[in-house]
Amino acid sequence: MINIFPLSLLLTAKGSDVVIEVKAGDTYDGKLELLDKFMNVKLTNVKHTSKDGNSFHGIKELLIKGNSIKYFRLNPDAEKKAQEEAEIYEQQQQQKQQKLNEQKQQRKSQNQKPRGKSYPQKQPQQRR
Amino acid sequence: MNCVLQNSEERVYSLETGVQFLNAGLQVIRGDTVAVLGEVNLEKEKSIDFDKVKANQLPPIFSNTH
Amino acid sequence: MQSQFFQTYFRGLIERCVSVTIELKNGLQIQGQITYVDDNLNFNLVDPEVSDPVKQPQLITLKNSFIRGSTVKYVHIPQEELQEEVLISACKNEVKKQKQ
Repeated sequence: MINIFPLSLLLTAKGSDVVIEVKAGDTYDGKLELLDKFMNVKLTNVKHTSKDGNSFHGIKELLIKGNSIKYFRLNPDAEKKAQEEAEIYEQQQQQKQQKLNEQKQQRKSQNQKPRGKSYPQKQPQQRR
Repeated sequence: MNCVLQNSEERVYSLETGVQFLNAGLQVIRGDTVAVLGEVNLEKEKSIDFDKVKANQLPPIFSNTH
Repeated sequence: MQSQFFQTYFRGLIERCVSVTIELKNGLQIQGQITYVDDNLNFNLVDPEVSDPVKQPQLITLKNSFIRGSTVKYVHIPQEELQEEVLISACKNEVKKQKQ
């Protein structure tokens, strides 16, 4: 199972073919070149099919605004790539978490007072 | 509210034929097009004969942008 | 910040485990117990039941559902759970607050 945020998944699909259906009903089949945080997308070598499936166009370069997209369909190769990247990301997250835990433990052991010695207690400041 | 769907299938309902299943694999759905999202009861699904289910497609809900 | 009025009212319904029927803009009617509501008035319903499973069989197999607030037309609340006086006085208070 791929455990990855949608935009991150789309980033892994950069360079592969995707099919995008827009809210108007048209579909665009092309290579995903660029993607931004608003889901705006640049495609190249695009096959455009109209909503009724009757007319077709070939478009070299195309920009689709993110808010007009209904969905993306990714092909099986993109799925494999995404799975790998998701696993790498999870490993990195686990390593980060381990480091944080280790740092916490180090801080705890430094803050612990060793037995036998007494440290001067902090007196609350008296205001005149 | 964008969604990632793995091993997804699209169900096409019609009044004449039973339900058609289209495999869509891995897809990303934009959140502002979603109306209802839910966990499916797989046992209930097994008890339904989808060939006999005939209904119209749910009418679309148009938001202010599209 | 937008008013929390409706969210507060629905939270009251959640606490009392009220079952409502949510009617969407496309005519779909789903009945269920509300378990969650948020700022955008999205809802979570447990054990959702479609009001007309013959005409609209698409969602009859759901165990639980998340309904996007922007798609809701009506929330039908049963008369006995409505608490009219509470609602009316809350409305009046809200109007006063907004005038300030």
